[in-house]
Order: sequence, then structure tokens, then C-alpha cells
Amino acid sequence: MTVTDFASLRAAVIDDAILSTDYFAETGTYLPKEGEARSVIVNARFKLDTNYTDEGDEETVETLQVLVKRNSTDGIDRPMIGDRFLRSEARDPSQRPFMFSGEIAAEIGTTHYKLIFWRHTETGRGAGQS
Amino acid sequence: MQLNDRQQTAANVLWLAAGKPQWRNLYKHAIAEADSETVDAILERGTGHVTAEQADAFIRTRDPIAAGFVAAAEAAAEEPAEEPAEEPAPKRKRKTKKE
Repeated sequence: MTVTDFASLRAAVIDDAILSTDYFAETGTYLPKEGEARSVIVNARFKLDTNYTDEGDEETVETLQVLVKRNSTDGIDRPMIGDRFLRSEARDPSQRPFMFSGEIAAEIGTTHYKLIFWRHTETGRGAGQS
Repeated sequence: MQLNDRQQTAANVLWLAAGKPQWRNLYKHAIAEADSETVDAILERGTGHVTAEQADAFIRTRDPIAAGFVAAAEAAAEEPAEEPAEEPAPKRKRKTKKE
């Protein structure tokens, strides 16, 4: 492949290394709000966050930052509120899907972007309750 | 994502109305899909006149009719250009004391 500019070089590195299942990527199941579930290749970063709501609740949120191609074959072309993402059983034995948060954290040219999925695990409400 | 000035403004109007900072880029994607009629309808309303419910409905459905944008634009287009003459308000009669 002949790389002629930075954008092409960046896309090639992402596709050949970061989104390669031989290196850093994984295959998961994308469950769109509209349409059928399908396999997608993503580079996922897991993070545990704590949110404090206006009502005084403390929420523990598992966040998944997903780098993915913008297409309808092995990527996600039309992210919508209500979409879900399920990691493979080997990586996530609980098999609870993550919900699309609505946040597109970064757009990498026109070929890739980073989407934020999350799921709530625990909500603490006041002393003695959980 | 490249949007023209009108699309960018419409996306900002919706984003401000929604009150969800993390949805900024998602609104750009939604507006990029929308037709010019929808963009015009959002801009006609402008900031402060799009409700959070409308912005929320639009981002969830991508449907300008469900969000109430297009229907409102059509209704505005059907209105006659000249405003109908207002009926004169009835004059109040001042009570006079009988002498």
C-alpha cells in the first residue's frame, strides 16, 4: 500500500494494527436500536467511573471507550441513543451489554471514531443503603 | 465531519436545547443526515425556542416530524403573507353620572 498523506497513513495504522484482532482489537456484538445484531471489530478501553448526581446519589459506571470504523460492515455507521454493545464472553463473562451514551469522544478523519458506551453497576443512596 | 454554517448552527441550537454536553458530536451527525427543510425549520425557531423534549426526540428518532420541526414549518408556510386586519376593540363607554 502506498501511503500518500498523513490521513491515509493514520487510517492504515489504525486498520492494520489498532483494529487488527491479531494485535489490539477484539470482536464484539453490536446491537443497534434499529436493525439486526452483527459482529464488529473494535479497540475497547475499559474504565470505572463514579458519578455524583444532582439528587446526591453515587453511581458506579463502567465505561467502554470504543474505537471503531465508520461503516456498516465491521464497524458502526450510524450511532444512535439506544444502541448497545456486547463484548465477547471471554472478555466479559457477565454478558451485560453496554449502552451507547450518546458521546462521540473523538472523530478520526472521516474513517473512524471513538464512541462511549457505559453501564451502571451500583447506585449508593444515603447511609446504610446500596 | 464537515457541516456548512447553517447545519453547524442548527446542530448547536439542538445541542444547547438538549442540555447534554456529551451529545455535541452526535447532534452534528444527526444534522448531517437531515434535509435542508429540517435545518431551516430549526433555524427559524432558533436558540431558546427549541425545547429539550424536541431536541431529545430528534436525537433518538432522527425524525423531524416526531420532533415537531417540520410540521411547525409547514404550518408557518400555510399562513397568509398578510396578517388579517384586527378587529377594532370595542370602545368602552364611560359611565356618566346622571345629573
